[in-house]
Amino acid sequence: MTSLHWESTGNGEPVLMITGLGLSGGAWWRTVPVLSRSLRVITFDNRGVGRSRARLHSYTTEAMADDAASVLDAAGVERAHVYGFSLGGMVAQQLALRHRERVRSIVLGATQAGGPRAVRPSPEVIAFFRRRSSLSAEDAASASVPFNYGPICRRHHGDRIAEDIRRRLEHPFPEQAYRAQMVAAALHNCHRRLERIEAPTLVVHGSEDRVVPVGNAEILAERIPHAELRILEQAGHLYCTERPDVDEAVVRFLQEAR
Amino acid sequence: MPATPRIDELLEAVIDGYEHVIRHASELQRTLARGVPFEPVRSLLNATADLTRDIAAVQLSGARWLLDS
Repeated sequence: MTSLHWESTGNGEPVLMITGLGLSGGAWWRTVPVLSRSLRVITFDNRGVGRSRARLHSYTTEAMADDAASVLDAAGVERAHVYGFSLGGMVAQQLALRHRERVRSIVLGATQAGGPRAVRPSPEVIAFFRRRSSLSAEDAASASVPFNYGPICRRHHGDRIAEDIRRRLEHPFPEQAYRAQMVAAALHNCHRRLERIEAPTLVVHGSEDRVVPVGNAEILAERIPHAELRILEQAGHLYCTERPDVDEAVVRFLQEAR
Repeated sequence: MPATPRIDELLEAVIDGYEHVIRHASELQRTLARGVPFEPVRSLLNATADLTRDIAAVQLSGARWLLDS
């Protein structure tokens, strides 16, 4: 039996948050307090991660989008803003295409459309993700720092990175779930259908993102009608840690998208 | 004179049609599962619905990949 753990914080228009590869809903810990001042923020653990349980893993972003829709059902929400980060952004695209009546607006953070036109990360990054499964959770978290954070953050905000890692390690995930999510990301392909997304969209991306190169944000903003692009200079993949001010910009966008 | 659709537009329409059929097939299996009051038949029907969706998702992703190449 599948059971998805979800949490709701604050009151107001609902916003569903979808996290990235191997992360639990708790990974939004910096963002939730800011968004929940004026919105009802719904976070959840993807299938097989954190406190969610599943006999079968999700190997496609389509399946993950259906899971996200079932979280909206459980929360009694008909229509919500959706904020997807990295793999979660791919799921958000599928949600907007498969369940368009449920999506009021979308924020796509550090993500990509997939398909042959996606901008690939460097061979060094790909090699890291391949060998990541052979590392312990602690070693993998430390080894991922140069890939996840921009140079300025690594130089000046080591405390923030340490706090991220500490919280991430509170919810380790089974290797199988991680692999399933890797397959989902690799198979993801919404490129051709992006022009069908009708919801107002904000694309947010760090200019120094090594995991999902910034060229992908440009593709998304170009293909999705009326999308707004916000590039965060000097920020890496986990831009919420490096640029906490972006949360306020997201709130403003969601308020305007009502 | 009416414009002739390009081959990639036709292929896209075929792929969309297939996706539509699969979604209906998957939803039908879920509806059937809801009507079955006993296990493990209900779980089996739900698992089949998931499998139908996921196998088709891989096929659709591959087909769209080729179309975009």
